[in-house]
Amino acid sequence: MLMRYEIQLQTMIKAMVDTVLAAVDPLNALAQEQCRLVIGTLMLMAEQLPLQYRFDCDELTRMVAFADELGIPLEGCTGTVADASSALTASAVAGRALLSRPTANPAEIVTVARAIRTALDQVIDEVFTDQSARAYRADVLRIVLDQSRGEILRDRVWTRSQGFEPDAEDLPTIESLLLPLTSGQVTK
Amino acid sequence: MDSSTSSLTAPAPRHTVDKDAPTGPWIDHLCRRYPTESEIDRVLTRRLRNRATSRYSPPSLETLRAGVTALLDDRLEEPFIISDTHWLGGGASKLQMAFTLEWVRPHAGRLQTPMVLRMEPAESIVETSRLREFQLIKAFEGVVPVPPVYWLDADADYLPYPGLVYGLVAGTTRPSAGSVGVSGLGTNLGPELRGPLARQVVRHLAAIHTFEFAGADLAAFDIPALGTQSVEWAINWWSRVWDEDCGEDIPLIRVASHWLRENMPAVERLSVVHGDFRTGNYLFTEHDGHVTAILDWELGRIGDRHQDLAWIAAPAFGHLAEDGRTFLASGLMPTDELYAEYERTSGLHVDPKRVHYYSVFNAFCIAVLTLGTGYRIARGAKTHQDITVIWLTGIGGAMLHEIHQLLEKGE
Repeated sequence: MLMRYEIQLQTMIKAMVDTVLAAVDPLNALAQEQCRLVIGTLMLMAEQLPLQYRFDCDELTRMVAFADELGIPLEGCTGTVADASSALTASAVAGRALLSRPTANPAEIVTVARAIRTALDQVIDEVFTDQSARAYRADVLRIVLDQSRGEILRDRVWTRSQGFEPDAEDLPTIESLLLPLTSGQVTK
Repeated sequence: MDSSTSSLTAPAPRHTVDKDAPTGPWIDHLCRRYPTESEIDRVLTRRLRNRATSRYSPPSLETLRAGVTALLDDRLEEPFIISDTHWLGGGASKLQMAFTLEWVRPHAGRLQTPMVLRMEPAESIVETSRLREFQLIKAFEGVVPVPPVYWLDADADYLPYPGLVYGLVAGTTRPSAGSVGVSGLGTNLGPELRGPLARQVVRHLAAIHTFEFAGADLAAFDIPALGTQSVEWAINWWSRVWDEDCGEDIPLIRVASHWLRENMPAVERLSVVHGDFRTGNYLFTEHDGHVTAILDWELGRIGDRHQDLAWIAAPAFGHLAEDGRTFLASGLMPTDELYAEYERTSGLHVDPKRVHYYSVFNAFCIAVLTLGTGYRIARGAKTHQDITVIWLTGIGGAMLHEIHQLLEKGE
């Protein structure tokens, strides 16, 4: 099968640069800007698509670890925080099970990772809303800062070519930040 | 730092919410959980109630001309002619149509005036009130350079969406030879223009912050009490927007919203806050380096001046000088020099702790509107700039990095 995204993106970018952009009214600033953004977005897709599956597996692995870490100080908590914490644990179990399966649907990986994010968010919100959970807040803040560090760096590198990073040249490569695929994931 | 804490009602269960088709009870829950200024509550609630049914249809220039004609038929006594309609670029938020109006201006006679219609799309990357924008610009006429604002269609009685008409002002937001990013971010003014513009910009910022707003018609603004009320309203505004729009929860953003709530500094002097005061949001004439208009007042509110002072010095809006080492706030001057100049001009103190607090707040706001609203409105095809706002989500990583660094630093 030759009709794959690599050649499709390459030809779309070429058409936009060589033909379409040159034909856009130079006085139509909105059209000019959007034409350039279409080109930029296509180029970004060409960079990201080959690594998208590995990125999503990395994301799910990080979210499972985040959920595990956040659950530790909350053992023994009560009320709505306990309910949210139980839901978080369940979401992490589902994530871990998915990662260990030999054939996981890529869309399912994204869905389960997002479900863990939602469970994390609910726990954090409950801890900072429920006055009886004040004692947990410092630990939760520290864990969120620690667990977010690597994820933020990865996401900055993922979009580096957009030009929003002042120190883009000092950032590592995206390949060095994504966890390697396990044998089950490699078979996809 | 003086601070007080506020109490929040319990969060809603996340899994039951379809943000593309919000239910009445969920909207009511958000209103109760995040009390804020009444006009902001009104526009945010209107947005959510319209979300499921209101897709954006690109209006033609002819449609907008007809809308402006209907508006002016009601506002003007004498016949008028609208001509030379064309689109204006700039910004990532509102539609702008330039046109020439031939009309009889009271006490001035028959004139040809270049005008701009500034109109909302179905949903905007910043959902704001045209009424507030109109009142704020009117209030500052003669105080700082602003575009003359003429007519308002606050409830889209004439236009497809709410809009206002103002006079076109000479000038540019970017030098013809400089570099600039999307929405004016990181504009490099160049060494020639930098100095003259910096002094004017600081003077205008000081004038905004020392403006006696009590006598102005700012009926669409709730005036907060001294203390933490204005801070809490602002946190609630943006926390609500995050809950309404985010497509993927981000723990750091949730933690940041609570950190802001737990560390609110008491406001000891209320000021008008512009809300988006930076290079890219003022016009200047290139030949003489003169600031001709302060633009984009839609995020204005009554609050703590340190919000603007942190905003103008945010990493996203500045760049390094030619020496490769000195950061220029908003591309104008080193941050400490800018603050010293501001203190001299305004007579107001710049408190580093408050600057730190509002740096967190501002990064939180930008993260919310790029990672939250940008995603949501592009997903719903709500604007004329879907590709621009989704491109701007790329800033999100840098904003999260900034929040992370600031929270690591503590107070």
